[in-house]
Amino acid sequence: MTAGALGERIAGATLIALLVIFLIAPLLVVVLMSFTNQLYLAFPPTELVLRWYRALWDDPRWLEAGWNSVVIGTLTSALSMLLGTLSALAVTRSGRAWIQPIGSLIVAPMMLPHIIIAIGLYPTMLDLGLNSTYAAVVIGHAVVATPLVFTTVTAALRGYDPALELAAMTLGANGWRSFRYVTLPMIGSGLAVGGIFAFAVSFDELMLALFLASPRTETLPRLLWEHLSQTITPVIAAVATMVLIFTFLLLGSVVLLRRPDAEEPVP
Amino acid sequence: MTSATARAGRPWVMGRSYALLLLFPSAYLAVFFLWPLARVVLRSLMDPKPGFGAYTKVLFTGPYLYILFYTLEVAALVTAVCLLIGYPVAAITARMRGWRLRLMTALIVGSLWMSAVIRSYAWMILFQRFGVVNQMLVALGFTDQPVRILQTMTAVTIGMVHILLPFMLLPLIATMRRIDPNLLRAGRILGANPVRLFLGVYLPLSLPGVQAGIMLVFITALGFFITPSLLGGGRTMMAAMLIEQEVDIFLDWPTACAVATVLLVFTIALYLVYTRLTRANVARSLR
Amino acid sequence: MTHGAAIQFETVSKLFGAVTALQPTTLSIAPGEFFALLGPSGSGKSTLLGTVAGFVAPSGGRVLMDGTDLTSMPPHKRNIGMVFQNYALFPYLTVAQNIAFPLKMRNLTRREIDQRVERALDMVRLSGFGGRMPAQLSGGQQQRVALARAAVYDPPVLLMDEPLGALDKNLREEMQEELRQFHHTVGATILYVTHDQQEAAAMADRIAIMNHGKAEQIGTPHDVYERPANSFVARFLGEANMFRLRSAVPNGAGCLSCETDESLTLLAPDAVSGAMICVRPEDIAISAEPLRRDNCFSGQVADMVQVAGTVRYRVAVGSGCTLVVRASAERRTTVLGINASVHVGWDATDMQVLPE
Repeated sequence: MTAGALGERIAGATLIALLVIFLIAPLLVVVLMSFTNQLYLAFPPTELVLRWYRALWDDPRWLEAGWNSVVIGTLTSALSMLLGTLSALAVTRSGRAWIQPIGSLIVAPMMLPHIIIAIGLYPTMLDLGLNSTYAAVVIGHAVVATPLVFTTVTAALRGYDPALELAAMTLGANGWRSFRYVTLPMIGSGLAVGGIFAFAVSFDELMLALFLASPRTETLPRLLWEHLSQTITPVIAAVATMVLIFTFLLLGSVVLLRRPDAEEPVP
Repeated sequence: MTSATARAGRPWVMGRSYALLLLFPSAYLAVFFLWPLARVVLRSLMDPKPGFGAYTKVLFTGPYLYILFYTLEVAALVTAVCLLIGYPVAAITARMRGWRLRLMTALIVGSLWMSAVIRSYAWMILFQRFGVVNQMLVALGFTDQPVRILQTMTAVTIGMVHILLPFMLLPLIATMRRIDPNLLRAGRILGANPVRLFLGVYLPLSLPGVQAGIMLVFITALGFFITPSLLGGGRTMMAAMLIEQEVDIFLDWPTACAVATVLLVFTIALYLVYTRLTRANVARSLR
Repeated sequence: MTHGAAIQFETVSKLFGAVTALQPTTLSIAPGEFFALLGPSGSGKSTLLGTVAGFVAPSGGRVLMDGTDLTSMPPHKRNIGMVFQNYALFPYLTVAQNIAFPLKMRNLTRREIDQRVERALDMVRLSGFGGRMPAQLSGGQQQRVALARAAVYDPPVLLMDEPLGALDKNLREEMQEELRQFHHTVGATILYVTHDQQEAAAMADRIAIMNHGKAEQIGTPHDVYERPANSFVARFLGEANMFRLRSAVPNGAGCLSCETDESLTLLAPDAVSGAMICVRPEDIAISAEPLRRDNCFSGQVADMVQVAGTVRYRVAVGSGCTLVVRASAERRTTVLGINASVHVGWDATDMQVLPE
């Protein structure tokens, strides 16, 4: 190998190494922080204890917020999967030209700052009498999570021969049956991945939660935010570590479901 | 042969039932997306009295306009940094194969989904007065005293780059992976040196990815709230923070809606420009 | 065994916006007939097939099956079998499950399903393959599974949309023979779409030649070849030497003396008026010796290709006119070489005068 090529290789490897450090290091800091024995955020910590995890366990608000986030995330995921699949089917299979712009409309919430949607949804929820309910948060989250399901399901639908559904119809399957026995198995993994992405979006979402949730329906990001604005103790690091682990596991399952070169929808 | 009377009915049309599926999602989006957006725009024009009062305040008086420009500035800076770092990283990643590629992809996608709140928090820890970064700076002799990093544009930029880098990397990698290596080989055979090869062949082919990445990062950066709030604040306020403040603290909904509408219009305009550009690109490449 | 159904198209037409995919077409297909829709891409043959399947809603007219109007019936109620070009097998089901699918849709008992699937696999000679996944089969095997699946519930009509298009040549010919057998065994009416005229001629009882949404001619393979209705049909099926008519004068002996654009004077049967004269390559005799026919010309062999038992000559006659001549390469006939001086000839009755 020439000196130039070797130099290139080293430079490249260094760059990648730096990038990996840049991306991962801050997270490792958080994890390390969660074991510190001191009250303030000094780093590096002098000794490692589990005291913050115990504080976390003892504080019902964290557990409740975590549970709320899981419940809301699951409901959001379900609603998004429904909305996303219906729209994806319509846009991909109906063959009508006027439907294409609607595809853009469905994806639009993903591109807009959540704050705008939040301040618009807040009075809407007031009008509908849904403010401070779980429903409000779920509905709001579904608006921004559906594009993800729409994207993955659309990709899945485009990935196979539409003649399969036509064949099912000639073989005697009506609309619902051809969906259940043909479409669903074919889009299965795409739908599941979209659902997991929807859950992840909801679980981490702050803006809509700030406006649509209430102390009764506290979500984890909201509680984190509250703490960060006021009392900054390393309990936050403990919470953060748990969230990181949870997210990691969630995404691990996505990796297992996905083909290696599939396109990733961007949140 | 029995001659059954022919049923005179409308012919059964294929796509009809599929199109009907759109009813529920359309209704949902109309009520919970379009109508709220419309409300925001309307409120900025109607409250407290009809007219452009709110806009005059936002676009022509001091702090608001400044904040809007500051938002643009930060978004542009973040986008530039992401591109600068992202392009070479993406190029190298695009050439990886097997477990290396999968690991990189997992890392990039993974960091995409890690909580923005948590990551901003991590930088908060790192940028503290006596945090790691300051300790390193002092140890390496760059300064005598710990420097204030938090609540500066630098902190916000670094934090946002950390979160938005994957948004730049993914489209870039996707496009670069599609570049046919035969084209580069052909260029080399034809006598192009590495610089010309890059400028003349690789760069133009990677352009769609660059455009997508820039668009994604810039538009997302415009609407950012979490990172600028935690790492900036005070002097370094961005549009989303302003809107939140107007609503939460000042209860000044008209102003908030006006700023939001400006942000909305700007985002939509950018997106339209982008789609126009990419369509022109596709047309050009097809000629 | 099923009794095939009669299919009737009554002025069935289809427009896609401003484009006429199908002109008003009226066509009757007899029960149990193997009927081919033949034509180039865009001729409307797949569209016509689609109206029977239910995928295409006619803009006008009706489709009847044994007298029942299908037009407002959705596909899953029509009880029709269909075989697709890319097989459309469900990749996540085994071969047996694929074939069982229509039976499951009809709520048959588990035992009945198993029995029928066995029989179907036997019929396409794939017994024992039931447990395999479609991806594990070759193209030909997949096509046979598709066939079994479409026939297992004894539909009176089977639709086939270029089913052999994805197979290579040898396999295609083998499958053609199998399909012929299949038709005899099953007895259903088969409507077969193809752009390959040899395929259509080999398998079909009758053919409809389609062009630009119109059925140009309907008849047996022999009919449409020997008596083409117009120059499109003549050119689409096999090869034809075509001459453009400039003027025609009766010569008193029941023949027309024709002047053509190519400056040849031909004797043609005094019958149909038209603009083109057509003579088939195999109807032209070729020899080194002079011939005694109604039309004789001398010329030179410009090209000669021998494929299996036939020799195909291109002979230059007159001023710049090239004739395609086919002769069988029997052992006693001398094969003429390139640049050989030859005589070609044919009788007036071997020619057709065709409309444009």
